[in-house]
Amino acid sequence: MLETDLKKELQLDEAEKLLPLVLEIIPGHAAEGLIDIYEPGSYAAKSLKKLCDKTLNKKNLSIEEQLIVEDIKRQLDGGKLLSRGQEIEGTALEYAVSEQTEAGEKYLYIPIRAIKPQEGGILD
Amino acid sequence: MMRSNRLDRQLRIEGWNQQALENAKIGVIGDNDLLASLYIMSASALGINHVFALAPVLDPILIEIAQKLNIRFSLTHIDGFFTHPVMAELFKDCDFMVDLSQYGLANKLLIERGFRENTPVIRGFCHETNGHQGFKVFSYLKGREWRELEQVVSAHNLPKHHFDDAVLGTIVSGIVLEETKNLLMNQHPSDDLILYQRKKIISAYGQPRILIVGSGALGIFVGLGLVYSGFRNLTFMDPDVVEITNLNRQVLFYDAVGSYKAQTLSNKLNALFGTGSNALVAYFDRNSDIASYDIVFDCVDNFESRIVLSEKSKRHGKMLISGGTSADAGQIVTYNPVDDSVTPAELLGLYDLVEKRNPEAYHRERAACIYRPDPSVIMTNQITAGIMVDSYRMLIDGQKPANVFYDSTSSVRF
Repeated sequence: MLETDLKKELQLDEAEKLLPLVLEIIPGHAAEGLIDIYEPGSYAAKSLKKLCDKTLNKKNLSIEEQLIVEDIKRQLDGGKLLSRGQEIEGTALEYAVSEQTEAGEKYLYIPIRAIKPQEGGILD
Repeated sequence: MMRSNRLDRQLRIEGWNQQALENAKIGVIGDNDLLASLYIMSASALGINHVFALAPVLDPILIEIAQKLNIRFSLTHIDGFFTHPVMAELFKDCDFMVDLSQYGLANKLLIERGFRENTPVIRGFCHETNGHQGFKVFSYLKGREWRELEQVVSAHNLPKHHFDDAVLGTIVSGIVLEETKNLLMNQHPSDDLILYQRKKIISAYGQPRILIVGSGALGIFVGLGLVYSGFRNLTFMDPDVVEITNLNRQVLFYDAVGSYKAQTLSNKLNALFGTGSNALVAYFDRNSDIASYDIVFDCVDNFESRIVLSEKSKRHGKMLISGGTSADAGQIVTYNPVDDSVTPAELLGLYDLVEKRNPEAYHRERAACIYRPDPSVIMTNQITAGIMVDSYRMLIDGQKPANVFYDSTSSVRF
């Protein structure tokens, strides 16, 4: 699993840069996160941090999504957003990998995890 | 009284059921490697008292530690391999089985028994295939006749030579023990196959000068992993003394309450493994000198020291492997000055965290764990430490280790 992550080729070809972008912000190591879809042309020039802020400030969330956002905020109380264990700096395209649905529809995907540092020894 | 003090750090965990661990009878099937012994040592530290083991050999050092850590611990060891269904009779009183063997006959017999008698089987092992090394863990319960079973049955039916690695074994035994705890406390074991894999390490290690800052549970398992990997030039640094509440996870300190941790750890490794390690009984601070070391392991328990370690490693161009744990999570962030511009403290945002702290509320003193302790258990420490050592071996081999964020409460562990 880890090696697969390392192997992921982050360089996208020109055609792939025109795909919709699926951004998923996951609280810690939960199986599911808050998903947001950005249409082609709406994300390329924006920093990934800004896209994450936008996703986290989405309105009209379902009850399940609200619970996920609460979990994310708990993690972010002293934590950070990381993508594959690395700082998120730069544009979304620098972090996206190309994937496809079972029906064969291609999209770009970025998993972001809200991670709280572990200290050990002392209660806050 | 002594028992409750020794286990204090895990008894603080919400919903923890120590009695379930203490009353359980666990059957362990081992092979001619260290894995079963590593599991048994950690299980004893956790407070599991009854283990029945069938294995051709158990490591005398690790078993002696298991017996000295926990006076209630009882081990019945039968010397041999699990090669016939009738041998299941030996384990008829066991709550469930832990299969750490490397031959298909035992794997199949145990899964068949698990299915027939509705008893769980936790299976964990190191593996090497097609130039890759790693480990797999799967918790089988009746009804989980999934395709994952194909991946956890060994290719060889009879005992034979197989890949064995004490560092990966340390991680596997920690994860298997976590699954043991989950089953005994009626918590949900992982649904998924837990898989870790990297390229096979081919480089020779040499004898780099290694500084391990922090000689608590992380420092101990990092020290053991380094020694088992063949590293000898180790220096341990820690100002604290051993407290009785450390003993549910700091496995080498069973007879050292009141002694300095760094000195005790160094002495123990030198006596048990013939290393020539050194100890520094001191805090790591801005005056500490790391110029003479090749690599620094950050095993401390506070963000302030981790910031100083990050800054000094960056300034001196030293590799740093930083580990942090809680009762149910662990983090490993690697800094290689050749490749990385961001230190562990920067990546994890530790500056903001420390800045926001109320300095009166945060007042670190020696043995601060006594005053405001966090819950802590052995498993996340041995898993985190094992991954720290494996990350270092990958760096030496020219591989780039990923930063690892481990969560024992999630099916997606890494």
